[in-house]
Amino acid sequence: MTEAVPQDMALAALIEAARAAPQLPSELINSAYAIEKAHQFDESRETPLRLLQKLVEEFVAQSEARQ
Amino acid sequence: MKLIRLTLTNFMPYKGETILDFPQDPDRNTLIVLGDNMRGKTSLLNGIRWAFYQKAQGRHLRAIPLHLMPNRDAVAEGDWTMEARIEFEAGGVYYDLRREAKKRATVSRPDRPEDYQVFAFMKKDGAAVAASDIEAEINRFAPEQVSRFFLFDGELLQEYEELLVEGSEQGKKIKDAIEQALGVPALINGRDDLQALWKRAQKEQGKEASLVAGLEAVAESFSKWSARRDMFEADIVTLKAQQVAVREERRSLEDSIAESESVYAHKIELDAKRERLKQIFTGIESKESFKRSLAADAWRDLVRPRLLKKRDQLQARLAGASKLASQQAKLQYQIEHLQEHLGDSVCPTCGQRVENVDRAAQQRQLDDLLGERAALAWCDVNSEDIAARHRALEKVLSTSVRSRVRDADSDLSNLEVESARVESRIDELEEELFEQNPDAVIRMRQRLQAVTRDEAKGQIEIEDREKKLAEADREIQSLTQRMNARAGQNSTRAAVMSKIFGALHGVFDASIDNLRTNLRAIVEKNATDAFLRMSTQKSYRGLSINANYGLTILGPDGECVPLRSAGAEQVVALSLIDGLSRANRAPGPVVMDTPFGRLDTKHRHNILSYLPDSARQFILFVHDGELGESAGMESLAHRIGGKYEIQEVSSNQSRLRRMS
Repeated sequence: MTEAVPQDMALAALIEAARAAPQLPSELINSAYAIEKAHQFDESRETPLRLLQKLVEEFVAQSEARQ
Repeated sequence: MKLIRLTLTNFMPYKGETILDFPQDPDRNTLIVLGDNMRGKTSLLNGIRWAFYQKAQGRHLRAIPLHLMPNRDAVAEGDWTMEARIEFEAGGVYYDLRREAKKRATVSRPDRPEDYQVFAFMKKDGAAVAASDIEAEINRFAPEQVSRFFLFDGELLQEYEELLVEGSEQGKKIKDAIEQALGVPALINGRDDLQALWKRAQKEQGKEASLVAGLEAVAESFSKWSARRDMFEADIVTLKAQQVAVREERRSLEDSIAESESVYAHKIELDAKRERLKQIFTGIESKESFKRSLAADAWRDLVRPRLLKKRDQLQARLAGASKLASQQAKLQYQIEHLQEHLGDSVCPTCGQRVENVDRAAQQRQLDDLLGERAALAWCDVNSEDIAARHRALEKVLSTSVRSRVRDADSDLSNLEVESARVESRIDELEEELFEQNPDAVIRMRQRLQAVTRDEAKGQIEIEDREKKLAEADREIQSLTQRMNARAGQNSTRAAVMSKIFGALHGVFDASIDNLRTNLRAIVEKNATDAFLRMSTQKSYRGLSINANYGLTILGPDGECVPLRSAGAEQVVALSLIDGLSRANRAPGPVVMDTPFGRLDTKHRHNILSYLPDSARQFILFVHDGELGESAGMESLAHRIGGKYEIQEVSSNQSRLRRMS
C-alpha cells in the first residue's frame, strides 16, 4: 500500500488563479496559503488575520526598501 | 495514520478496562468485531470518536450527553471516572492520546454534562504535548471534519444520499462538511480574512485621502459608503445569527414533534377510549334496566309448559278445522254439481239425453254426499276463534323471559369484559402520558408554523441586506479606484496595502471555484473507480457528480439511472466516501459500524473485497447477520488480522473477547 499523500489541490487551485494577478509574487501567495491552511479549522480568525497583516506589511516594507 | 490500540475504561457498556488491538500487518489489515444489536458496537466507534474529538453520537447522529456515558454499573458503585485512550501512528510518529472524564469534586451525584470535567493528555513519541496544542496536533492528521470519511455508520451513509436532492438543507450541510474535509476552508477563510483586511486598509486609505487636497469629497463619500457597508454587514451578521437560532428552534421543534407523535397518538386514543368507556357504562345500565323490566314478565316462564301444551292443542285443532273446511267445501261443490245434473235431462257437456238409470245412480250419489255433509256438520268448529287464541298464545310464548334474560346477561358479560379491557388500556395510556403534556404537542405545532414563517421572513431580510451590501461594495471600489488614480505614483502606504489585500483577495476568491471544479472531477473519478469495483451491475458505466457532490449512476449508454435500490444507494454512498477520502488525504484507517444492513450478499462480497485494499486498516463492527460465516466472511478471510466478539455480561455491561 502506498503512503503517497495526494497533491495539495487547494494550493494548486490557488496557483492557477494567481496567474491572473502576476503582480503578486508566488512566495506571498504561498505564505498566505500556509497561514490559512495551518489555521483553517480555528474557530477564531484572530491569529490568521494578525499573521496575514504582518505578512503583507513585511512585504510592502521590503518592496519599499528595494525601491 | 494507523490505529494501534483502543483502551476504554468505564466507557458506556464497557465496565473496567477494555482493550481493542488494531491489526498492524498490511496484508491482514482487517479487524472484525462481532456483536449483537444493543451490545456496544457503536460504543466502540464512539470510544475512538471521543478519544479524538471528545464527542459521541447516538441515533440520528445526535451528541450523547457526557453524564450518560460512564458505565452505569460503575456509577452505581460510585466510580464516575471514564476514559478513552487511543494509540496510533501518523507520519512516522507514535501518538498516545488519552481523554478522561471525572466527576467534579463539588458534585455528589452528577446528572448533567457540566457535572463532569474532561482532561486530555497526549504524548508524541513519548514526549508530553501541551494541552493547548493537542487539538492542533490532531488537526494535522485527522481533523474532526475529515472524520466522517473514516469513522462512520449506516446512518451516516444514508445521510450522503441526501446529496442527490438538489437544494435540500441537509444536502447543503453535507456539501459544506465535504468541502471542509477537502481543504476548501483554507481558501474560503483566506478569502474572508483577506477581505476583512482589505476593508481595514481601504478605511485607512479613506482617512488618508481626506487629508489630501482635492480628494476631500471622494473621501467623504467613501467614509459615508464605508459606514453604510459596516452597517449592512452588522445587520447581516445579526440576521444570520437570528436565522441560526430560528432554524435551530425549528429543527428542535420538528424533532420534538416527531418524538412526541406517539404522545399525540396516545392522547387521541385515550380520549377515544374514555368516550367508549362512557358508552359501555351506558350500555351496562341499559341492559340492567332491561333485565329488571323482564322480572315483571317472569310469571310467563312459570306457566310456559302449560301454555306450550295449550298452543300445540290449538295448533292441532286449527289444522283439523282447516282440513274439515276443505272437506266441506269439496262436498258442497260435488252436491251442487249433482243437483244441477239431476234437474236437467240433457247432459250440459255433450248435449245427449241422460238415461233414467244414470239419473237414479246420481241421485244415490247425491244422497250419500248429503249424508256425509250432515255427518260433518255436527263437528263444525269456530276456526276463527281457534286462530285468534293461537295467535295470542304465540305472542306470549314468542320469546321466553329466560332466554331474553340470558341474552341480556351475555351482552352484559361482553360489555363488562370490554370495559375491563378499555379501563386497562386507559391505565396504560395514562401511565404513558404521565409527566407528558399532550397539549404541549399542539402548542409545539403552532409554534413550528410561526417559526417557519419567521425563518422565511429572515431569509428575505438577509437577501435584501446582501443586495445593499453589494451596492455599497461597488461604490467603495469605484471610490477607491478614484483615490488610487489621483494618487498615481505617490500612493500612500495604506493605498499600497489596500491594493495588495485586494489582489490577494481576488486570487483566493477565484481559486475557490477552481478547487471545487477540480475536486468534483477527481472525486467523480475516484468514486467511479470504487463503484465499478463494488457494484454487481457490470453494465453500469460509472458515476456522475453534481454540484453538491451527489452521485448519479450512469447506465450502459451514459444515461442517468434515476431509480436505484436501497442497496445500490449504499454502494454509491460508500463509493462517494471512498472517492472523497482518497481525493485529499493519505490512506488511513476506515472504521465502519453496522454498514451492511441493506446490502445483498454479492454487493457485500464486492465491498469486502475492495475496502481492505483501499484503506490502510479496515475495521468493521458488525452483527453476525451482516457478516457471519455464511454472510461474506469468506471474502475477507485472507485479510483478517484480528477478530473480537462482544459478549453480554448484563443489561448494563458488555465485554470484548478476542477470538483470533
